[in-house]
Amino acid sequence: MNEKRRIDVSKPARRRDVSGFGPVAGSSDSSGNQADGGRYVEVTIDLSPEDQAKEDYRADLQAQVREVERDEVVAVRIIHPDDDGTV
Amino acid sequence: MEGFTIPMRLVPRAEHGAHERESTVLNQALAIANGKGGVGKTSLTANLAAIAANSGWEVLVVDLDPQGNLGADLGYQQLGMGDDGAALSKAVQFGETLRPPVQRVRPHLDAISAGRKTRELAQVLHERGRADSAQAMDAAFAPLVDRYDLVVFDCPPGDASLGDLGLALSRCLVVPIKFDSGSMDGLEVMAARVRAARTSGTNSKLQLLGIVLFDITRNATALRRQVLEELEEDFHQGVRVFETAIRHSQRAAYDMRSDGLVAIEYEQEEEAEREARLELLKIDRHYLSELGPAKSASAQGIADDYTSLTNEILEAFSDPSPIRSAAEIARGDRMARAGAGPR
Repeated sequence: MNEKRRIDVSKPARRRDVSGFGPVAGSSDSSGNQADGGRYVEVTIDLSPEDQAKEDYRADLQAQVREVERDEVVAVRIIHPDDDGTV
Repeated sequence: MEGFTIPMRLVPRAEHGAHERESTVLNQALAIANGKGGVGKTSLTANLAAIAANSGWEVLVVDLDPQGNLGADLGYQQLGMGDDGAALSKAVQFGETLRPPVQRVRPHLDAISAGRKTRELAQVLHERGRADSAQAMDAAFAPLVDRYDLVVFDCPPGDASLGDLGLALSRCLVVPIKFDSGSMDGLEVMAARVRAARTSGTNSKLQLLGIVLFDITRNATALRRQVLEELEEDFHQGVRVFETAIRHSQRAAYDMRSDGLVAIEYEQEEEAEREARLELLKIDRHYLSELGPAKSASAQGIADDYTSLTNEILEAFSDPSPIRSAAEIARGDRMARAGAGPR
């Protein structure tokens, strides 16, 4: 009878689902967010034959990917300046 | 309201193409809504419309809320000018020509009022379905398109079918919130309705223009920071939070709705009343009781808030692309505190 009952009133934090406000199909906002939910980073590269340039590019790209991964980036799109090749 | 202007105007129609229509969307239409009631959407609608009209815009406000509070805020209810929603109801149900029943409630400002007939319209809309209702709404508003620079829909929180009429025709949506979890949760409701409008094809182009912080106590800085952080967490793709928040004043809110005044008018009345009180004090303080209770000392501040917010909203409405995230606003707050000290 005297047993105390513990009631857990803690409520887990709930993230609201506001994805319905996402960008209109076919558009992207100023931060590069795409309407289909993915976020892309466009990197223009010069595919130089010299190894050093490739290394510089790789390091630069990796740094950018690390940076944007913190914002839950789902893909990185690389655009060559001379064609529309997407990697 | 002589001498009152806002410096920015919507891009002229010739340059902006403001009257070009894309499917059912009116480029000059803005919806104000939240899934929860009592968050300031009607006050915001009335003040935004009145300030824009006062600056020379041709404005039409459309009350879709059967409560008809917009009529009280703009004063036409007190004057018996509303039609209980009959004009809109007949236009949507029977295809009758829609003429705003409240003409020139202020210079450059017309209104389509709501009331008992709007409630009946809601029942009809439930039966007709979303696409059919949107089409009827489109046909009703088509003849009005060329007359107005700005059309503002006051969307009710409760009845989705009525609110969806406003969302169906609007290019952008503004959501006011208070600092309470209920109105924040109302955002979630609105997100679902925006998604439904897009996916059902009634308005695939509807965009959230931004969020207004409403009825905010000026010194609630920690709470403001917390709300901005929550918004940042919810909207991980970023959301515009308008920098101007509307300050809390129960007295002013009560007076404005009772008297049918918007903030820029209430400010002028408050100033005139203050001067009258000073004059009476010179004669005999006993006359003061004849003036009744004093108006809010926040009148000027609230008028400034609405003016500044209207500028922000209309500027964004002209170019909705740049996004300033909640986090950036919060950072701005911190920098302002660090740089300028307490205001």
